[in-house]
Amino acid sequence: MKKEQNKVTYITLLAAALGIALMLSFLESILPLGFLIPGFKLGLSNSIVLLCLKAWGLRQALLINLTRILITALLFGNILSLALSLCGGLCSTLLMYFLLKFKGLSNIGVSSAAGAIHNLAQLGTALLLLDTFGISHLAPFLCILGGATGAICGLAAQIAEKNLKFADFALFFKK
Amino acid sequence: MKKGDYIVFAAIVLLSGVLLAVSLSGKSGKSIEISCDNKHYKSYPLNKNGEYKIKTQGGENTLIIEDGHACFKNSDCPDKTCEKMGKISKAGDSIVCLPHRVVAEVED
Repeated sequence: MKKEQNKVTYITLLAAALGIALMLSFLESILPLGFLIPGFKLGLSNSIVLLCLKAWGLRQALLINLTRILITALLFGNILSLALSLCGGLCSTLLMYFLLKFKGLSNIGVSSAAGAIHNLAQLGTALLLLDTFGISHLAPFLCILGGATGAICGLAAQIAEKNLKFADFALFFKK
Repeated sequence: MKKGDYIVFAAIVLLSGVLLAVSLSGKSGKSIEISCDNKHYKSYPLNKNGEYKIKTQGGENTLIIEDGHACFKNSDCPDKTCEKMGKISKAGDSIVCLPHRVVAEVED
């Protein structure tokens, strides 16, 4: 009985994480930042991905991130933003997975690096797909901006994690 | 905040600096070559200011050359991605208008 209950809770938490990530993506879509580069995004949902990585692992985090990207692109975006988001999301999730292994980094550093890589990967993909070097001049600014927004996401993830542990949610984290 | 975070921040700033240096270097181009459907359309010199209308099967793009930079303005394409691509001036830079299949590339 206990095992079944834990499994249901696990699936529900996964779905809840996906829902929150989708909401954050929706918030991002309201802010019209697409004037710099078509498909440019803040990495707000990376904080959810980070928590998923810490709670469960790479497989679940990738699942939630890729599903979130797919649904967001279908609802609010176009093929171009789908391609950019996929590459950015994949690179940042993998980077976060590897950086979390270092004990000397907190959530903020991991998220900051992931944000910078997310933006740079998106720029790189845009360069490849659109075949133009004109936008490559935005690279340094994207790097700093990505690092800054990533740091803020990391802070949010830090606060969330502290409060989740306090509420004994950690009991459910290991399915 | 742990010690490693500061290293990450420093690395990001360093990377941005390197990217900035790379983007600022690069040869200034002499002319802009416009091609439509991968076929050469026209070339314009970058040292003469001017406004040129590029009429293709898809529609019209206005190429503005000013102070050695070139950019697209007032394009009648649906997404206006070409206008958002900004100014180009260094050899190898290019602006693309996908709906009209027009490419503007800087030649040195």
